[in-house]
Amino acid sequence: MPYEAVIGLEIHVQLNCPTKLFCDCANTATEKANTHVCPTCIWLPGAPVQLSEDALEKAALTCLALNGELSARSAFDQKVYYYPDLPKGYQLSQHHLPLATGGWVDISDENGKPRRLRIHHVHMEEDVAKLVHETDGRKRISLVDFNRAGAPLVEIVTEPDIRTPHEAMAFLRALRTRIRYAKTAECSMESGTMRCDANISLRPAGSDAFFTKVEVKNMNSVKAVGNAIAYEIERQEKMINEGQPVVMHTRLWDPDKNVTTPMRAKFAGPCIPDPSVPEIHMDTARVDALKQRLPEMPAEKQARFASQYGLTGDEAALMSTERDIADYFEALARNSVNARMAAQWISGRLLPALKDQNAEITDTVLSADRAAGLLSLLENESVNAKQAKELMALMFTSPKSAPEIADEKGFRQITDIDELSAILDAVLEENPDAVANLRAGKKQAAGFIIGQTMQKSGGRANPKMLSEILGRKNFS
Amino acid sequence: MNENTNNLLWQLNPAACEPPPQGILNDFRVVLRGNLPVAGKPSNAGSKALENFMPIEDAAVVKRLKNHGAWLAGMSQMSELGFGITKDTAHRLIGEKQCNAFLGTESAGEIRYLAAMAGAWGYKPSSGICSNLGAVTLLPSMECIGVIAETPAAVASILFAVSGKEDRDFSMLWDNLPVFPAKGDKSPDSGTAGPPIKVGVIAEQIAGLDEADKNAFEKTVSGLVQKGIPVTEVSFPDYDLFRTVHQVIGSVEASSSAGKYDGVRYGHRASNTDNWNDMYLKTRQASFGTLIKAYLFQGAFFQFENYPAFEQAARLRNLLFQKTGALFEDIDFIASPLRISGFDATRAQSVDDVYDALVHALPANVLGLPALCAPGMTRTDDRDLGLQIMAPHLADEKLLNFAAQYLTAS
Repeated sequence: MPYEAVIGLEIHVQLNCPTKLFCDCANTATEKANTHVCPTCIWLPGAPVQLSEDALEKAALTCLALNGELSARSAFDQKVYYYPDLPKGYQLSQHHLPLATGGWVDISDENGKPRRLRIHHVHMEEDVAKLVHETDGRKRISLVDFNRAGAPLVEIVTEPDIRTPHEAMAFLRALRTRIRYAKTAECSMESGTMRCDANISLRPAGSDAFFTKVEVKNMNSVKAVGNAIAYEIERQEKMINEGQPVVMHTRLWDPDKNVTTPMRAKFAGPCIPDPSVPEIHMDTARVDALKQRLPEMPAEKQARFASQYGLTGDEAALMSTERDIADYFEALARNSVNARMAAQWISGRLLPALKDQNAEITDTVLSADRAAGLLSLLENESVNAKQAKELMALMFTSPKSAPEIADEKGFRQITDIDELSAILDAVLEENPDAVANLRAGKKQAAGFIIGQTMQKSGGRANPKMLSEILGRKNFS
Repeated sequence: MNENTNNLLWQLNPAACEPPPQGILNDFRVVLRGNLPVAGKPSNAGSKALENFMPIEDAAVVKRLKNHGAWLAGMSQMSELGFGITKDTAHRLIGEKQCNAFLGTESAGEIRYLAAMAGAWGYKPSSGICSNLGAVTLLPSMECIGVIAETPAAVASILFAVSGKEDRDFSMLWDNLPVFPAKGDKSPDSGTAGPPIKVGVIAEQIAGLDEADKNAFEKTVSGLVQKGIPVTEVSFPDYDLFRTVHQVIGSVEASSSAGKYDGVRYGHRASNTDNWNDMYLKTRQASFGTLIKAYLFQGAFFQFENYPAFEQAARLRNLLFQKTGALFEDIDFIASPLRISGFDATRAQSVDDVYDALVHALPANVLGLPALCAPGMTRTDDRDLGLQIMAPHLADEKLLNFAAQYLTAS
């Protein structure tokens, strides 16, 4: 019997707020344990709990970026679970009245067909502490680092709409893009600012029943989520085919062995309303104001880039993947630079160079204004592609403009017809065999001649004009 | 500072202390219940789980008491985590004149009950007007600061000092807070002409009293009527639900909240354990006493085994809000005895014993309403039951004015 997978994701995203959710401690990673702590985030008895306005706004913007509807009333609950990473015994989370309900993210399935994957709700919660397991001689010890305790999180809970590992990965990538557009979180699974648990069950294809699900944790990359889901689908299918029951439990993904293994469950209970944090009320005016702060989202931007700047679908998609890249592209395009050339240069030259430098597009010295100067030289054929590449490399270390550097280094392309003709004639004279081949109609000899001419010009000759001059010569 | 004296966890010798600043509370020597921390002094909330807890900050109300010139005299012993009064000593401290005011939190009428035992005035303000910040609390939706003092005016002076918006406490009300007079029996608008106060008594509550208590209360009612206060009987068929609602919600909140008082950090951490889970289990086992354990188990049962009961209790609580609100459309206050002759809260052995003894005090905590306990007005042959008057939310000023005008000997 063919089966289909029913997959729901629970994604924790750490908001990029300067402080923690309920206190003023820094919400930044630091290597020294227990330095970003106070009575509130180490949960001392009676410590004050003050909801961060910034965290609330960033959480709300995140919800809106995911097309969610902000609740008029939301509130925090005590979510009880006993584990040493949560010494107070409960986590403040929104269970009964989440910050937002609904929402969706659009993706393409394996066949390129559009799919809309729904979100059930988004709620806020505080992060727990981090356990560090070490040995003291032969004794195993566990230490608790509270630097992360109380960090502001949103948890995004999807509807069980996902059917394949590809869809899960596409969902996570699209979700990450949208949240990064809202600039509310870094969303890096590798650094732990986005964490994903997957609930997976199988059912006969076409059925709408829900069977016993298994939760899988510990995936530290989008690819790992796909791999873990693929493994779990195969494992459950094998169990069902062998007549073994699937039991509800939690499993850990082992990225080294590419398997999931059962883990000991944390003891967790239902949530109890906690009045120590006041209810959050979102009136229409506040929601409207937040919506105004939301930027154009990637799907809309992609469509606009295609229609406004004439980019191909792939180019528009590439240019809208990240908001900072999109902003850079638009700044270039607005600088009267050919938009398609700008898109190709960003994806083909700039981004690989930045990756090599481990730099971000937002903080590179090669600003969009400076890059516009470079691309103008390329567009009006003052420099050729090879020169433009070298020029870009120099611009990373020099504050000068592209024309200034081009002049200094003699990068200006030779476009004077007489000058080009003189160099070409000299090459023809030095290569009589090639000329003979040309006369014999061997077209590859033209390439050889152009290459020699480029070399003789120190790479400065305009290859297009050279071809035209050569083409006009009569070798018959 | 002396620690572990009989009735006090610690006490301060006034002669050895720096005098408090000039303020309206200069005449008050205040003892605190053991769950209102004072920086640098032990505050164990009556539990082994917190026996080594040394607060680094004063509770918000303690800070305000100090700022208004009160003398801190010490900290009382108390029932574990404030549930019931089996180990509380406030009544003895007041009786021995070791203090003339007492502050603590109450979640089931404990402070008012202790006041009745001490023959003093007990007061629970409206929820949201005094900050619980810094207090070691157990029932977040029902627990609030309670005051014991010698007169309604003294109560009002203390509330003048400790009530009002606390910047770091966002669980408080911010607007339309009651205004308390700094000094004097009455606030500026008291005694002005207005519609006569109407007091109601709940028929179903009074019907459940034993003969002695009923007689004592009827005498109280007669006394009020003689003072020109109309007293009418009102019906509240769901009155018995207060106890059930309090017990289900309260025990669940306690079970959840007690997680942070696990003993691992401040109590006696169990040794000879196999792993951390084992250490947590054994530490908790050793940290909590029998009575609180029973309460936590009840809460854990509702939380983990019968959550629909908790949800139903929450719905019933809402119903009780509505029905009580409807009663207050026709009457100003609800009167009843506070204590019950047949039950002694100091001797409670079980959760049911605690609830049996405190049952009349529960509605004010369930609904967050202001309630006072007046001494000497409702007496049986052997005890002062205390006259409880409960008012609508935020009618604190009116309630204290009424007490000063009609319930004091003068």
